Amino acid sequence: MTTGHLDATRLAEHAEGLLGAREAAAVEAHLGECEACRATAADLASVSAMLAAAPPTLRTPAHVVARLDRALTDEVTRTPEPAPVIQLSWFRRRAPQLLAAAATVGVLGFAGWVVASGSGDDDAGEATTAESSGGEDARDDAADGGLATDSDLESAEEESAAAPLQSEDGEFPAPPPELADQIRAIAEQGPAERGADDTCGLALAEELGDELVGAAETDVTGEAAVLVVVRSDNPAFVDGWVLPDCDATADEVLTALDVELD
Amino acid sequence: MTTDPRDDRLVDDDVLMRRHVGGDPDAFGELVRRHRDRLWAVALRTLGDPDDAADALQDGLINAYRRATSYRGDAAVTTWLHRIVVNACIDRVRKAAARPSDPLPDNNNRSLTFAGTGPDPADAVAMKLDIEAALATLPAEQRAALVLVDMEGVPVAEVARMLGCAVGTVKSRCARARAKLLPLLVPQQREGNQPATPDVPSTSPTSRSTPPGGDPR
Repeated sequence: MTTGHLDATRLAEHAEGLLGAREAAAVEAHLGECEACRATAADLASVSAMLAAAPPTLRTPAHVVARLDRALTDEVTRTPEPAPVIQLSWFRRRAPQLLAAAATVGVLGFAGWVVASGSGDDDAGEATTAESSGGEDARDDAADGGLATDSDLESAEEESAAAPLQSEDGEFPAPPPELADQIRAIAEQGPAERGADDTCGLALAEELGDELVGAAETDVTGEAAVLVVVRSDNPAFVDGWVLPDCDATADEVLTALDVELD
Repeated sequence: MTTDPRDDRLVDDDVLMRRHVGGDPDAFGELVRRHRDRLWAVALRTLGDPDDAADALQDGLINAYRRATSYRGDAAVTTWLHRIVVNACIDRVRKAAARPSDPLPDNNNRSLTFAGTGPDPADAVAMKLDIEAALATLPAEQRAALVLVDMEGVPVAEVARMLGCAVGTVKSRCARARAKLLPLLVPQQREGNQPATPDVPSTSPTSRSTPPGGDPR
């Protein structure tokens, strides 16, 4: 025990009370007769003191500041959260671009906002449940930082009409709540109420390959516009598209909303 | 209080928190500006790598942004932010520990931890690193424990809870970390090992306690 000096780890463990009684007594005995080890013990204490005395702040590097600003700005534009009973679809027209982005950088933008169906229709309920779990898978993938697999992308593409897509670029303003009511009103009238010569919205429906339900004038965006409602791939939902005019196509969409039918 | 008395133009942190929860898009950014350097310091020191630290700081701040309504006002905003960022750092430490290989060899400074062994090539090149560089040489789990205990003043029992290990494990990690830092922070000048930094008061490693997040700024 008295041959040579104690190593610093042993002394540090002794200072923390980690040694057993016999070992601690031996260390104490050695310290009593060895000035060098006493000095080492004092130096160990000074390490803690130096750490405690370090300035509490360090200047954040500029690139980190810029990165944090960007992340928080993105976070601000991502809010507010949608109302719970409405599915937002930000937006079907972005789906190909978002999926392409997902394929290259592994970011899947869907997930989030799938809500449980309150529909009495069993098929629709099952469909919604399946989408919900699919959305969570996609979110898990994104959280793990893993690349989406081909099968993920395929299933995502199939679901893209009803599974909501979140706009990554914040291009669209959040649709006002009254838009959902207007969409429902048009959906309740149904195609039967639409005159055979009424082609308003037909261009969009044909582009999307969806059945046109109806169209009406709307001012939800604060200016004269047309609300075109088409049948979603999911029978429990219809899609409302606000367009500048009756002949506009998806590229010109002002805002859009998927609404679950009662 | 969290407001810097020298700058009373600034509203209190608590007010900014309430504004943020109320939907003010600028309030949280102002909180971040105020406390960023403090949070950066703890992230960099805990993780030892600037990229990891930036990731953890971003994760923590986004988390804080989203969880603002969970702020109860029972601690200073800066303490609350500090805790969230520290947790984000610890998440990373624990995930890294779960991976099979640790890139840092555990014993690379071993020869330096013996005092008074006479002239030694390692002693000859002993240099005084700055604290961040010295911390970066430690294994991740030792570093996290030591930073929280010795730099952030978090009680050992709390650190054990945060790291998900026993109190004795925290103490052991701290002890080994201090021994490794010794030759890096305290130059070994001579055979007898006089304290090389006489201006630093020698205190017991366990007797000092500073509340975390107490930095007014």
